[in-house]
Amino acid sequence: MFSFFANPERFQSLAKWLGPPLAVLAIVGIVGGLGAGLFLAPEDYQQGDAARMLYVHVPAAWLASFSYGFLAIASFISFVWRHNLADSAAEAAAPLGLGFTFLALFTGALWGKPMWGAYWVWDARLTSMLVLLFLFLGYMTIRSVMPDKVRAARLGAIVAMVGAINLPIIKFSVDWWSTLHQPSSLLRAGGPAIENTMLWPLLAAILGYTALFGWLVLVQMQTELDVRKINRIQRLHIGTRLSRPEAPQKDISNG
Amino acid sequence: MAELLDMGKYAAFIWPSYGVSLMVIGGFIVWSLRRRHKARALLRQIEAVEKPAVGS
Repeated sequence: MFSFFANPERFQSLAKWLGPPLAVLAIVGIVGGLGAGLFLAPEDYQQGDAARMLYVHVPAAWLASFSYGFLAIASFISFVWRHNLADSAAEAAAPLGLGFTFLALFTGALWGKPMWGAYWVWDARLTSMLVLLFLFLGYMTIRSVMPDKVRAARLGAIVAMVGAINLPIIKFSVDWWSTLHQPSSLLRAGGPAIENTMLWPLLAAILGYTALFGWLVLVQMQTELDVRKINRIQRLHIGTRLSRPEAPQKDISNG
Repeated sequence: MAELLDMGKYAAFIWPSYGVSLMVIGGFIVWSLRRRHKARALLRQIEAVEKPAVGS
């Protein structure tokens, strides 16, 4: 399967086919989910209107973990099979993951202040999310700072794979430690613990955020393929230019 | 309307969280599409120069 998608032409045609529906799903899901969460969903019986932050916080937190999982899997494929497209998928996922991890922390802080009385506490869930932010930052720094792009990709992949150990820590932090953060209300044994009128806008927003991630990763990968093609052509030109001074030498030796 | 904007006294927390979320999402969309557009335009430009050179 990996070798099937290793072909850039095949990937480009798949991306052209898959991109538009993902974009539509993203916009409909986000506008519908956030709009319904803000204006239609009922207020929570304990938290009142503050619970409306659920619809921006939970999808961002989900996507932060999801994008890191995607980054780690793409890095593994790139590291083991030296799959160029998997490498560009990993590179594309990192800034998106960083952005959504920031959003999860930011919206969480704004939710925490009225509920806990503090924007930040060194709670296991919050701290493991902060570690996730630094993992994304570390990965992106390695990719952008190292001059040797092949070595940067290999080292970045190792960091991404090792950092994946943080994902179960994030997920189970609320069960393993005594935390201020509430336990999981969606992915838990016995089904979601949320009323349907609040659940549907949340699921729509989660679906919209995930589709947005898929769409933007495809767009970034298409861009990366174009950039690599441009670099290849430019290197070819530099090579041609460099080889020109050798031509007269050849003529002299022949003469 | 005032009640809606007030959000049960949580307006100072709810509106910034939605506002910043939409800004980040919008920013990612604009950044990705502009980057794609620029790369594609540059590639087309280079390929247009390349083709006659290859042909000659």
